[in-house]
Amino acid sequence: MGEETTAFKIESYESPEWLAEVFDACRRSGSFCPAEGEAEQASPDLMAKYAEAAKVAHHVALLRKERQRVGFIPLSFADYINGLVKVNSVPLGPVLKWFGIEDLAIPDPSSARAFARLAQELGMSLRESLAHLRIGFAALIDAAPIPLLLARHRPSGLRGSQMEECEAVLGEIESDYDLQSLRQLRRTEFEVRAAYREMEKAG
Amino acid sequence: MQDGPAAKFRGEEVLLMRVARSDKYIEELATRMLFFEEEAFAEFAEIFGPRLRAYFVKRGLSAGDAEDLSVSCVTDIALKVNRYTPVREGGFTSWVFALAYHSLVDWWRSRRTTEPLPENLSSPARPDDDEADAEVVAAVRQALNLLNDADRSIILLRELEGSYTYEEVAEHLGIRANAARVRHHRALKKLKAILEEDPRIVKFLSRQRVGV
Repeated sequence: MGEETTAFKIESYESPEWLAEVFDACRRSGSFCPAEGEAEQASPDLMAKYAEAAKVAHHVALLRKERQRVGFIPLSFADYINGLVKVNSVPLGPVLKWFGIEDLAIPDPSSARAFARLAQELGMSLRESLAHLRIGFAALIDAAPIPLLLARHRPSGLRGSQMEECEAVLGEIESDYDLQSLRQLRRTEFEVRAAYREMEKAG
Repeated sequence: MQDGPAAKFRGEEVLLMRVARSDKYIEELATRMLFFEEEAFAEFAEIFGPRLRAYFVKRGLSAGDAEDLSVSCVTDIALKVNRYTPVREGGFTSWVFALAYHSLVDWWRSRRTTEPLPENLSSPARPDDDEADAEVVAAVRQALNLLNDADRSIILLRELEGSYTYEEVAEHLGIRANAARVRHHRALKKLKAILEEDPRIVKFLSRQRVGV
């Protein structure tokens, strides 16, 4: 029997469905995609973009490592991030650009999600992020520096963790905010919470 | 003509050997990234950027969209490298492309009001799909290594690396199209016989059936 006859006979042959599922999983994994060198060469401009994207990832990874080391400190988001940046000698501009943040010092509802994404990439919990946000907001409306208020709070109040003490002090300050400021803060908090929920859902 | 197909098979073998070496190197690259080595991040971009772009183009994105998404993936995936657990050779590449696949699905979903999700992306991704897929890939790689060069080449060309027509496969291997069809059929039967005995495949398929 020649190959042509055999080929004619198997024209209608279909591999079993399960084998197709196995191939699907393999293709989905991308493991059998064009190997390095087989993929079409990218232009120098595109390679420069890839290099820049990797640099941002490296900078954020360094900041995340530093954040894990220092933990929570009662500073505004801007002061905290700037501090991490300085001790690591990492350029902040490309990182902010990547996350779409124009100004670290001005947290508002429109930029809250970008803040939240950066905070989460740095490994901050939602609770920490909200504390940094509220401290930054307090600084914007000209409250006394939080470390000073924390020190004042200690002799009279119950001693808890730094975070608990910070939240208690912020609660006291915020009770004096005018309605409009308070509303803006709550809306910003709402956006941060929503962003965290979305990111957690996305895994 | 006599040494045409043989030369092509030898080429395929060299290619497979190169990919195998590259897998090991890439596993080390992942470890170097875990140690925050700046050069390793740069190499990651250089190696995976163009491959990610090719992957997205192959799955229906325009050149421009594939470029944008691949740039975005370089940062996103490099940032997740601390979540990668080395379990097997070639695992890092599978892991990278599993994340790229999820990014691609998200990309299509974000545009679902204007563009339909392509058929090959329509199955919903489950959180533990990546691990299951990695097991399947390992089983298939192992099975492919048990086939001869010709059978392996045909499976790679027809089923895994692309959906080449019999004419294209024939041209690549230096044989006639009908012969390519026959060899494909035989290679599939051999692969099927190996894979149906593999416990990783059995587990994967039972999981698919239950839909867990």
